[in-house]
Amino acid sequence: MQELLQEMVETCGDQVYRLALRYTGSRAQAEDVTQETFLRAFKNLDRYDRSRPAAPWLLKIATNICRNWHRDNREVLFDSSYDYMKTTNPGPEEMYLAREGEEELLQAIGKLPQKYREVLLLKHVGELNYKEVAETLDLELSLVKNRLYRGRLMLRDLLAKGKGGSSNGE
Amino acid sequence: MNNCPDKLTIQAYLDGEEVHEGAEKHIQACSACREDCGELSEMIFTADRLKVDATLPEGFLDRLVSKTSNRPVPAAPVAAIIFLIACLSSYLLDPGYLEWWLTAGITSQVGLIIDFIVELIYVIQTLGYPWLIMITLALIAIEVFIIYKIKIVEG
Repeated sequence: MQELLQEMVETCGDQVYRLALRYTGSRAQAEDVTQETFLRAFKNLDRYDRSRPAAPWLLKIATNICRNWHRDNREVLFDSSYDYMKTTNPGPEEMYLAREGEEELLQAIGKLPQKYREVLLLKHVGELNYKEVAETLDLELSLVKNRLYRGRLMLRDLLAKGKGGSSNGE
Repeated sequence: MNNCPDKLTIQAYLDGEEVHEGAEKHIQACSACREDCGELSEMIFTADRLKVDATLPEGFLDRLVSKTSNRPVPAAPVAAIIFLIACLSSYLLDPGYLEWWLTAGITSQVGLIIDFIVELIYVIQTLGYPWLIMITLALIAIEVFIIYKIKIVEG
């Protein structure tokens, strides 16, 4: 059991961590979410079908945790602390621009309806293919394609507007 | 133009997903579809900004493994079992103890005794291995000392 868990951390740990980081914007919070994900996975290893890839199963657990996190910490998301940028050590101007870009992006993600946000994050951050996203969110493949298209369109429009639009999709 | 695949198919093609061979050939040859490809590529490029370049913090696996290997025992049931074993063994050693137990009014304090054992289990669970080894050694030393004294008394 321990060996299987270690193997999962080695193969999918970064994916889960990045997803959590994008949801929370904080390294410490992301590590907590990742740890909780693997602890839940460990508790439910008997339910895991070993013939299938672990990433969708783990990202499903992580998405559920992030969903709750996002519900409880909405104001933190909009506060956009983004402490993970502090470790990159760019110059002051680059730092300012990068930070501004990240904040803009974070605002836009926060304004996306949950159903589009989840698909976008699993595709672009979790790096899953359509089938895996569908499996992770228990959706039809056609719905994944549709949400991905609409989500990308919304994200582009929100970023183009600069300050973003309003969200009423949750 | 009328045979052009829809935008979702073009999007799937750009995302590297499997699409119908005919659709793939059409997209590559059709100027209108190429225009859609341009627009969709821009959308995908924008969404790719969501990617984060980060790896798990150092020592994550060790911290996780320590949490999964030191799973705490359920304190309340264990405390109740310890209490029952203690009662049963005292009765088996000397049935008179049970009579004393019932008359001494200790029965009303059963809850407190179990709570004490629960707290004790919690404390033990929070202790690290060095502490547990020290306590075990101390208990062994006390037991050896008592046995030694009993032997002297009994001659």
